[in-house]
Amino acid sequence: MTREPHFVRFAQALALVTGLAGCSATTTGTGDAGGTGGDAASGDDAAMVADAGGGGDDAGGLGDDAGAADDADVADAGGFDCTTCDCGFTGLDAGLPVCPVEAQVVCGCVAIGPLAPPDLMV
Amino acid sequence: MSTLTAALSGTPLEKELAAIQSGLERVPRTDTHFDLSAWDPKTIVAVRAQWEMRMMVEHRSSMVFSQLAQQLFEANASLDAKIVMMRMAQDELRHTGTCAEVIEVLGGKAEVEADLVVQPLAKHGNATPEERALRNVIYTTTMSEMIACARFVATLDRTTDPYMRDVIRRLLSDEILHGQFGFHYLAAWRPWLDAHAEVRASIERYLIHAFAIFEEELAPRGAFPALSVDEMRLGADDPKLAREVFYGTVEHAIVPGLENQGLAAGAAWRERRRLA
Repeated sequence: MTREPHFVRFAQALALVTGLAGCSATTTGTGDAGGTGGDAASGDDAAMVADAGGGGDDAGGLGDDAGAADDADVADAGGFDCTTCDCGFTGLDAGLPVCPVEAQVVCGCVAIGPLAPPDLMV
Repeated sequence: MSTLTAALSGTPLEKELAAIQSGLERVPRTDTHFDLSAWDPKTIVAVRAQWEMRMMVEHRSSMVFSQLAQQLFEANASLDAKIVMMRMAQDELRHTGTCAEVIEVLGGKAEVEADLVVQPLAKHGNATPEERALRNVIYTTTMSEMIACARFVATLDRTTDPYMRDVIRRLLSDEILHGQFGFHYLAAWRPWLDAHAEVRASIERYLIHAFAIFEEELAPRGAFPALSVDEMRLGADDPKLAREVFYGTVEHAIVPGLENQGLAAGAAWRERRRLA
């Protein structure tokens, strides 16, 4: 049985944290970021979870997921008419960052941080 | 457009900043150093360009969280939620400084052209303060920041340079808090949502719209060029990987996480479309 990619298990641990038993505030990993339920509001646990992202043998050995790029198909968004520049970033909406290579608007590939939420009047 | 830098004031405020920084860091820094001479200059230029972009985006992100903090005030959110939201706005500013540090380590000058106009945060028409805050918390943290976390994890898994790993881990450790914030917030507001079924339904309808925009903004499309091995070792962003991360994270973490908080997110994701 194929395990889910590391990033998925990591994200699940964050998203479902309040629905799982919390782990203690130690830096001892349980071996599976998808199952720790770590409370990332704690600095110690943050370190533990971040270490789990290391792909090494820290935090209980998640190294077997290093790379995490199995060949699973990803959904095809399709239907978008966009131009791809050499750096791989695509032009879409106004107001997004401009690709430093081709001076095109980009889709936010390198955006790390909250995007402004879309407004919906109703 | 203005020139954004991470320059400090040269006053005692710098000492106060240092104290704040050390208090907020969720993982300790390591003493790794970056060997610029060990890498192909073209690779360095490409990676540095991403950090320049990231510096600008992090600064802009602080504007999002700082305005969202105001909306939490209006929603009469709990004291801890308001304080943590303001911390998260600070985190994004600290990340601006982290990005500047990386740019300089990579041989560049930490100056980026940026639009510093604060774009008003969505108010959602006549939505109540409570619903407004809930919508925006969900979008910014349980959706947008969760993708940031997953991207960092996927990138970190193939980053081998010690300095870049250290920097990415530092950013990731904050993003973990940012991504989880909304799930905790929803848990706190669940009794209120149970008593206001019409608001829950309205938020679920918003999710149909929000997921459509979210996909447009964060699921890269196109024919992606393959990254070089060195770019991967330096933790360069990979649009092809980012696309895989987006769908994997939405379908297996974000949607289940929101469902776990009593929101029909799976149906909203399946039915996603622009409603306006």
